[in-house]
Amino acid sequence: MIEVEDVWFSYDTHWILKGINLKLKKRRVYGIVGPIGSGKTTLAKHFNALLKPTRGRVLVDGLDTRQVPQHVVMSKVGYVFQNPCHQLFCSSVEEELKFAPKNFRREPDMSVAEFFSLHRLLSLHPFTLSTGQMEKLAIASVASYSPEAIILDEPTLGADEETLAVLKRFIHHYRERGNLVVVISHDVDFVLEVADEIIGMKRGRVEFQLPNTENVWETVRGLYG
Amino acid sequence: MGSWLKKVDARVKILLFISSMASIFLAHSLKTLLGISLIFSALFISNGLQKNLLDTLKKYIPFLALSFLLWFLYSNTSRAAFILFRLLNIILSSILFITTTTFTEIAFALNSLGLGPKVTLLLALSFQMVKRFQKEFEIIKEAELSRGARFDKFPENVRNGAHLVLPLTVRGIEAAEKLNIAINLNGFPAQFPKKRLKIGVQEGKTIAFLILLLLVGWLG
Repeated sequence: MIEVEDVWFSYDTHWILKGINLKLKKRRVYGIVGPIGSGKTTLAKHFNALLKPTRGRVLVDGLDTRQVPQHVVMSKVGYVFQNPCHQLFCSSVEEELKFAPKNFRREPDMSVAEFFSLHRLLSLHPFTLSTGQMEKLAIASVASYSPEAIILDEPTLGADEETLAVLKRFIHHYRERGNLVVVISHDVDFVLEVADEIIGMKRGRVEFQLPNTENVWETVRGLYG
Repeated sequence: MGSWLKKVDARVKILLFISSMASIFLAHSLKTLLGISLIFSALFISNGLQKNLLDTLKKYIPFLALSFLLWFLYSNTSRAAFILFRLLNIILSSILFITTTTFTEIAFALNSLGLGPKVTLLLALSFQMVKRFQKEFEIIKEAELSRGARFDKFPENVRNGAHLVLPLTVRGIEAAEKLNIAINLNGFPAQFPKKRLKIGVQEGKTIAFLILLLLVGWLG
């Protein structure tokens, strides 16, 4: 689904990503871990064409992100950002859920409202919701247009137990529907719980891409050493 | 190449900024404005800031083009070119100042130049909030883009731009609240460190450019 081929990226003279090679397949959950500044978010922003590589290329379903319009890639790869306040901008929960499907000319999947227990809150303004509900709405507003891949950037930040439980169920459910899920997080325990494969990053490079087995924890710990 | 202007005392840079603005408004001919642009170009190149300059200028092209068009329609080509170069020089001067001076430097420098601590802090925080808002704006725009919002054609760009207002306001209020708590916890009113102005080689070079700009603007 997503192929990253020798990707280098810089904003100016400093390389943030240095020769990244990855292959991400559907029906899998990938966890990207690594210290702050290792390039996790920068890499993930390449998956949905928010950023384009300075060198190398990213292919999404065979389409080169540098050569197709940004919204074509974005219709395939959804991105849930760190802070819910940054991604809720409509005047009601219902509008929020229908915003992306309308833009991508798709039928909104309103079952996500029920999945995230938002179905009774559809008429409310997003900023009147609790933090947990806002977090759920942020994910639901992306899932509602059913992208084939979804990126969750630090989804556990500030999440309570109940939100975490729903999040885990969602990740499992979304993968079972044949989609690709990428979780970027500092919460290694959470990533080890939900991911099928772990990608470790350090100083702009991929240090490893390993299946999530019992021994992987030691390797992950090495990233933070 | 490193930027020598970054090492110059902020008070001298403030004077350079004021002088450059004065010379831009003193200039009465297109040739003079072109001369001022050349001096700015020399400053950018000698500080290795060409890339910053080009990246920022790209964003101003529509604004400059619109201004040229309006002046061309209401006046004539030479007047439109004059205004275009005046605006360009104002932008160049501001970019040079912003890219070589930090907010803290500005605050300390203004305080040394006699501004009261309350006003200094207020100004420094306002500068910081502008930068913060710019960053917040980019993040929210990215989120909208990711959900299929278009900013490349009319009227979608206006409609989607309006969506940014509410989250920006909420984030702004949040940031202001946090700032207020931080200022109180840090025991405002703060005492800004006093530093004596030393005129070194870099300051000397800056003053030379400052005089050159004023002379070109005044004589031109």
